This record gives sequence, structure tokens and C-alpha cells, in this order.
Amino acid sequence: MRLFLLAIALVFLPAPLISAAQDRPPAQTVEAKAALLAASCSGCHVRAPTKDGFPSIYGQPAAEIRDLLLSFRSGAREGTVMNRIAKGYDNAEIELLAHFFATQGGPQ
Amino acid sequence: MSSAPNTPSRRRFLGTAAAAAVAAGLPVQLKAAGSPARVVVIGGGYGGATVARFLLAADPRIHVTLIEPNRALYSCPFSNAVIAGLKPYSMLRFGYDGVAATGVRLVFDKATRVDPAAKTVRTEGGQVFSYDRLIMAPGIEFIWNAIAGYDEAAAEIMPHAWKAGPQTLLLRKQIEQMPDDGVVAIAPPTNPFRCPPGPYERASLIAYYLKKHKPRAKVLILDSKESFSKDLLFRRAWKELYGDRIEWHGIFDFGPVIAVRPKEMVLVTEKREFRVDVANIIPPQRAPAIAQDAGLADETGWCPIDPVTFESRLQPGIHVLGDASIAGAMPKSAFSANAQGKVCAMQIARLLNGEAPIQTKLINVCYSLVAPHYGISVAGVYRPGEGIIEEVENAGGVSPTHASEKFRRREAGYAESWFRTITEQVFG
Repeated sequence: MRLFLLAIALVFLPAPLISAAQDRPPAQTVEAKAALLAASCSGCHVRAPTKDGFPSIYGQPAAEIRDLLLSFRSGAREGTVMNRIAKGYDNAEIELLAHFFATQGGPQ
Repeated sequence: MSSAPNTPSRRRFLGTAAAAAVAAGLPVQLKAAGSPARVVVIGGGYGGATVARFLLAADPRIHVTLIEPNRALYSCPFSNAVIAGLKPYSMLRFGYDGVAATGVRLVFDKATRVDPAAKTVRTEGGQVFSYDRLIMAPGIEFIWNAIAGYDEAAAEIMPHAWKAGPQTLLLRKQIEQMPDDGVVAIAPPTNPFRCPPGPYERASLIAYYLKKHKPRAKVLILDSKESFSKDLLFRRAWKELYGDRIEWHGIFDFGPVIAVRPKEMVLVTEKREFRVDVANIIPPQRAPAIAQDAGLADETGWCPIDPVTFESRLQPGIHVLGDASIAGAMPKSAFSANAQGKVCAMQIARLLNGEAPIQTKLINVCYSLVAPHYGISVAGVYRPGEGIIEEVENAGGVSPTHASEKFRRREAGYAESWFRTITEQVFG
């Protein structure tokens, strides 16, 4: 149960709260890195999108988000602004983002 | 200084009871001394309101105080639509109840003096706030009389409407009341300034209004630059939608507007004078006095910052974000301020927890409406470079020069969606 609550903490509270351990587990730094990268995305993408709004990216499978970002980046998929944005991220960053949004759950 | 901060329900903001329970149950180790860190935020605009509430999201133990003179913000984004009579003024107004509900302590007062050595902020109302870290998001101030004759009094006759509120309504009224064959002049400043595409979106939507209601009237842009944001897109769209209704002159045509005579409604350039019916002067800008007086600004008038943490390069312990900062390649926009606010909040939470900040990337997207259903955008992805924020190469850019009506319509829809998203996130 504690592990489950801890996982939620890493998702909802981007900055690590636990500082008791001397050696910070790498997972927390990875989560923090993902949360920082993802911060700009919520400028447009909301949890509960409306009909003509930006699509929801929260709680979608990581593989789907990754594929979407990669196809925006390559131009295989035509967006309006996403092609230009996706080009700004490398594969590792896209992987981080995909997993971050996948764990964020659906609309509140 | 007052003692206990507000502690309204943070559960609401954290979103789930589980997360709140976790936050309560984890060991607290915020400072060596054991007392929670105090962060003061100056400015409740898109940058300040964002960083304040996201600091609490990152670490609910931080005591966050937001000092803002006005009880509500009037949004500059979408104010052009109000000026053109397309949207109601009420749509621009955002109160701070949502921000306060997250646990941020709102202080409706004007910060007048920062003492970086003593780490205090004094206000007009006589309050004194001590801080462990200070975040300044004070926006811009105008450099009065940089254009001879354009002072605060002149702005009541020739509005800038570059801070939304009464100025927005003033400009709207003037456009409604102008003669049917009149001229609206817009005089944009040199770079850098708040909202690079803003003057041109304004020209576009005013032209939309004039085409419908005063078809013999014109918009005259007397620019102090030789080019502007999204200019190819704007100029093509102007021709397509408005014919000759918008006349843009770059700096090489007449020179910049160097003086005004408000009572005569005259704008003076190097080569000639223009008598107009409505004059929208957008004067040169700089970081406001609260930042200048604290030693945060350099000779450019803006505040240099660390590109990872937004900490001032001139005063340690003070962070600057939004329009007042030198954010390198990032434009001075609400989107930028909001993105910077979220990132800065997380970095400061890390610093307060004794952790190193993490290099990351930020995004800016600026939507402009050339007409209600014709939207264009400019986007950029940014990362910390050599001491300054740089644009990621081969990314970003403007909307395609050639695009279908459907594409332009979609971007116009996204412009409205963005406004709903961001204002809900920041003020909701």
C-alpha cells in the first residue's frame, strides 16, 4: 500500500518530498525530469478537453503518446502546431513524456 | 509580519484525497531548521499567479505569499478581440479566489521596496514580508516620454491598451466613435516588447470591425521596426481579407514615431506628421521600478536570469520570470510566463529541498486571430544554453504560409481553447 501511495506522490507531486534517504533513488529524479518537461504541455492540453479543444493526452497508453509525438515529429501525421513542437524533443525526452502522461489518469 | 498563513483545503488542488494523505504522511525535511520555507511572489499576472500555485503543488509545505495590487486581472490575451467588439470585456476579468483556494496567501497591496540583503519586501500599505526566496513577476512598465509628449496623461487621449483594463475600454470606445472614413494609427515599439504579434493581431481585428461597420476607414501602422512577428502570414492575410484597409510602414518609410501632440491627434515621424482619428501608441517598455530598485535589471532595462532556475544573475535568492525577465529566445508572452512559472516553481521546490535543479525544455506558442475564424501561430521550444535560454534548432516556427481555410479555422479554434485552458489553470 505504501508503495502505491508513493507512486501517486511521484505522479501528483512532481518535486520529491522524501529526503530522508541519502542516495536518492533514480526513479524520483526521472519523474522530476519528466514533470519538468511536461510542464509546458499543460499550457494547452487539459485533463477534460472540450469538443473543439486540444485533445486529451492524459491517461492515454504510453505507446500511443510516443507514437503520436514521433509521427508529429517526422511529419507523418499532420497537426497544426504539434509538428513544430515535437521537433524540439529527442527520443529519450519523448519516452519520458509518454510515460509521464500515461500515468496521469483520465479527466478529473 | 502576520503569523499563521491561510491553510484552506489543499486537497482540492491536489486533486485526490490519496495524494493529500500522502503529502501529510511523508517526512518533512524542508529546511535544516525544520520550519517551512517562505516564498514571496510579487505580481499576480500570468507568471506570478502560476508560480505561486504551482509552488504549492510541488511542495505543499512551502508558505507562499502573493502580493498583487489589483483584486482582479484583466487579461491582455484576447483583449484585442474586445477592442474590436468581438468579445465582451467581462471575458477578460479573472479574480484570485481560485489562487487563494490552493493555499496561496493573497495580499492585495503594492510592493514598493525589496531589500535583498535583509530579504524583506515592503508594501505601500506598510506591511513587511520576510522571505527565504523571492520571485518577481512584475510585468512591464512604460518608458514615458521616450516618445516626446507621450506621458501618462497622453495615454488617456492616445491609449496604449498594453495593460488590459480601462485602457482596453477606452480604445474600444474611440474606435466605435471615430468617423466612418477615419484613420486608426498603431505605433508598435522596437524589440523586445510584451507580446510581439500583439499589435498586428490588433490591427487585424480592428480592420475586421472597420470592414463591417466603417468600410471607408483604415488602419495605419507606423512601425519602429523593419519586420515583425509572423509578418509574412499577417501581410498575406491582410491582403486576402481586408484589401488595402491595413497600411503597414516599416522604419525605413518614415522613420519611427518620435513625438506626439495628443490634443491635435498628431503623430510625428522623422519625415512627416500624421493627423489621425484614433492613435494607439505602444511605447517602449522595461522591467518595473520594483525590479530596477532592487538591482535586478541591467542596462537593457530587463532582468538577467539563470536559464535553468530563473534566479537573478544580479541578486541571489531572487527569481524573475515573465515579461520582466531576459528569457533569451523566449518571447514576452503569457504562454511563456505560464511555462516559466511552472518550471521555476518545480526548480525552487527542489532547491528548498536541497536538491539540484534539472535542465529542461520550455515551450511558447502564440496564437493570433487575423479574423474570428482565421488563426495563425508561432511556436518555439527552448532550452538553457550558454548562460541564456536558447531556441532548440530545427523546431518551432510559424503556421504554413499556404494552408486551407479549415487549417486557419482550426488554429482560430485552438486560440480560443488555449485561452480557456490557461485561464482555468492559472485562475481557476
